[in-house]
Amino acid sequence: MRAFEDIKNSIGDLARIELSEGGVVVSTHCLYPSRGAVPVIVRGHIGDRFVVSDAGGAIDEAKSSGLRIGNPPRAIGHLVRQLGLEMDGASICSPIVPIEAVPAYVLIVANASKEASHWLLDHWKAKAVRNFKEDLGRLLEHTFLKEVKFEEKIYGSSTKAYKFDFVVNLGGGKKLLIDAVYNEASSIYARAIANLDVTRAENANLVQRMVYDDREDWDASNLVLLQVGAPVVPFSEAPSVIERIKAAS
Amino acid sequence: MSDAALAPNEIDQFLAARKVVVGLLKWVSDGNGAQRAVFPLMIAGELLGPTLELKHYQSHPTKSFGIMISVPPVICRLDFDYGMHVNTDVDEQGGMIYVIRQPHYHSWRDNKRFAIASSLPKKLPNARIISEKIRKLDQALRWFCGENNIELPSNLSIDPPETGLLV
Repeated sequence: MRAFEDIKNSIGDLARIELSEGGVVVSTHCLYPSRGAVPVIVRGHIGDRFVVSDAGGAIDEAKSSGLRIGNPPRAIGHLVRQLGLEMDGASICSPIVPIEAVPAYVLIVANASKEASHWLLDHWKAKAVRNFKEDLGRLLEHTFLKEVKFEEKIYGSSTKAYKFDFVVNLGGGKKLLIDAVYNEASSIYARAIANLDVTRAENANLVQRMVYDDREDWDASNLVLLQVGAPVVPFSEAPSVIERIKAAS
Repeated sequence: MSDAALAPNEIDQFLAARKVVVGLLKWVSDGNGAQRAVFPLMIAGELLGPTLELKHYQSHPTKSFGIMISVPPVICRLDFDYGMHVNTDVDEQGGMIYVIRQPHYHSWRDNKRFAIASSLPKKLPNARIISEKIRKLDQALRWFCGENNIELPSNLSIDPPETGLLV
């Protein structure tokens, strides 16, 4: 059957094996988050023994997505060791194995490299988001120098006190209240209510803003809910908005 | 919210300003047989209250969908509706007709005369027929956004809600 031969040949093209300077490069069926195939390299060791490595592919994949990973063994070593593999610098490696074990380790290392790159993207992106409040604090301190106070209490119309992440003295008795809002229901509800209650106190000396991290995907409905409490600013727009508020004060 | 409240004389300026749709689309039931999706509109880097709202009617005899800007209240609205609409106080020289039985657009320009000094009109009595080339929600939305200086993110996919998969 011709179709069978065509399919067989085209699938065969997926798993190419090429000789390179450092060893034999095997292109696998595993895919990185960027949809590129995961290649592994098989290097000869002493005698008839071999090491299969991803040649740092998982780390390179994460770095090409903008993540800064200073210590690769610390970042993904725990994942790799669970699979009976090792880290050699930035590379995921098999133990030294006989030729019979090489095909299995090609699959194991390629899958480990793929999974590690996915884990890095998910986990380190989340870490970047967690640092968003610090990034916002730095931006405010850069703009307003020593006028920024942290976690100051402000009273709402209900007489309930709310802690705002940043309170900036704008001069003339005016204060800018800024909250960092996270993409979680508890953060969204708490900050929307705090800002709404303070808005309803109708204190003309208070300027309120909530800042969200637009490096993450937000449901439009959550942003609509937030703006019930006070004006909302995407983090990417915060520098220009904060400069404008400063200039107007 | 006080920052979002707009007076009638501020609406022209609001509509002329560049606005950007932000957030991901999420259809929800409005409890009356339609599905709604709401987006905040960003102006000069801030979300101050105005929204772009979509309504999708899956079993209405004449209506398919609606698109509107609310500041609030709603200040302009597109009705993809083959039911009868009767205009009020028609400007015949301006090409407006009394009775419409096809998809139409209630623009701010045709309705701002119903505002009074301190408050926006509660209804938008006047409308004009939209181009017959506009057949689908996605086409209508892009036309509506163009009319009102609203930018849609290039990666935003505006698909009607799928039956049986609604939240």
